[in-house]
Amino acid sequence: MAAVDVRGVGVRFRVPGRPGAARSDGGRSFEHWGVRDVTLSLGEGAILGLVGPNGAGKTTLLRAIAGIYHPDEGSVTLTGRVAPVLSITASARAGLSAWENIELTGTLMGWTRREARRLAPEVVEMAGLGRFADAPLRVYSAGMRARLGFSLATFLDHEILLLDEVFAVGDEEFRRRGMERLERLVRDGRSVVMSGHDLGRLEDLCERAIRLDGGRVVAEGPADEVIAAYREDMARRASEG
Amino acid sequence: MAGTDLRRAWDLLMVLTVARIREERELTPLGILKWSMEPASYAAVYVLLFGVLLQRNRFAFPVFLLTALIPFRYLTGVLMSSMSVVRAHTSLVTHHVFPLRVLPLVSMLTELPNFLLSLLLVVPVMLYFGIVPGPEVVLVVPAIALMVLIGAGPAYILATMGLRFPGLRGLVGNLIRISFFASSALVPLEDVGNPTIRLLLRANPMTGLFEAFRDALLRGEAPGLVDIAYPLVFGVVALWIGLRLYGAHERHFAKVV
Repeated sequence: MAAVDVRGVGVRFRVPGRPGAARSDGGRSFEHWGVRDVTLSLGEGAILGLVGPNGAGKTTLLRAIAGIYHPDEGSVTLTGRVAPVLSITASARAGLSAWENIELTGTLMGWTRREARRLAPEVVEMAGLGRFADAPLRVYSAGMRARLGFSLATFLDHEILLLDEVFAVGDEEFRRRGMERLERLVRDGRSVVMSGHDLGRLEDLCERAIRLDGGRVVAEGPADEVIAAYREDMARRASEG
Repeated sequence: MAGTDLRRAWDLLMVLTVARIREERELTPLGILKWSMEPASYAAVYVLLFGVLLQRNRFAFPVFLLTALIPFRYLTGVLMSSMSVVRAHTSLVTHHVFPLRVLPLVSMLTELPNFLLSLLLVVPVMLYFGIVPGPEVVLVVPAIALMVLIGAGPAYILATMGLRFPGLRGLVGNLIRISFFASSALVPLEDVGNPTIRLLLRANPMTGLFEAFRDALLRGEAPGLVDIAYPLVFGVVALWIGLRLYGAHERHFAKVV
């Protein structure tokens, strides 16, 4: 049974225009499909990679799978609970300490406050924050924030994880440990959909990949083939200026 | 809503409220003194203006004024912050799936500590005027519940509208201020001779609310049924409308925000 089943999904946005703009000068608001007619399925214990240039629709698709965006057409069916770890630290609050952020994010992810408080010392320990755990996040380095976010993500017991550019931050050691953890989660039966621009890492982690462009699926198949074709296209476009 | 969902929503409400208070207010001794003195200084301006300069020498005029001013300040804070509460939580709305209905409640709870602290400041003023709080003072609890109910519906309505039309903020601020002056906040109803004007003042739900606070803290008596029935009905109807409106739009918040 598929853990994630997406059928013909489309997500539409209304893009605001310039205030007072006339229809003739193109400044009026307009409709834009972030993704359209996207179909994919993912089984238990599998990782699917999403690749594509900026604006291709990767984040929109992940948000539609998560239930953050309600599709304007098509359907999303999930077997299991989904953890939309869309960005490691995007929802963290700079004015709060690591403890408070763990409680906040954990509660948003479905923990009770008691669970969040019980697990917080382990999350902080794994993130290696030391005395910084009491300090507000605004004084953390990008790497420390990333470690905190990823440590928290690995404590979530959701069956489906959605990861958006999670390895875009942090040093090589963080990325290596993150990949190891991710592989372990998948071995334990979790299903993961992840997007990113680190094609080498996606190639290593994912069995299958989908390439999006302009909100539509333009290629789907084994990750190495899809990513190789994408690289070639990118190189050709770059050489053509 | 199942029990687990309710528990989750409650936990979330608490966590978001504490987070907002910590982020917005400096929780050092000096910081707490600063934000607790803010309503007192605000009240002092009104007492000076209306009690001294305009010579409203009614008995215990400062208590009379504070019993209107403090709930009004609470409602103003709730309504104005509700207008931006969804946008203030953009990073959460666009990254997590959670019951979005808690957001206006976060605004309501965030304003409560200020309100309760201000209410405590009334006690020494009451004592100064020889008003010793008796057992009737517990009637302030239903008055607070009424105040929260009156604020809830408009909070949901403004949270929805504030996201679509942020430019309405100034207009809403003006309307709230007008509603204060068009109530019994500064003038006792019995002093209003014109029956039409008295009826208009009564049509403002804030009038019944202020009278409920005065009954508890100034007059030491139970509020009149008519005084609270109207704001109660207003609160229930506004909450019903607010929840319907908010519920119809919340699925689009992540796209609009």
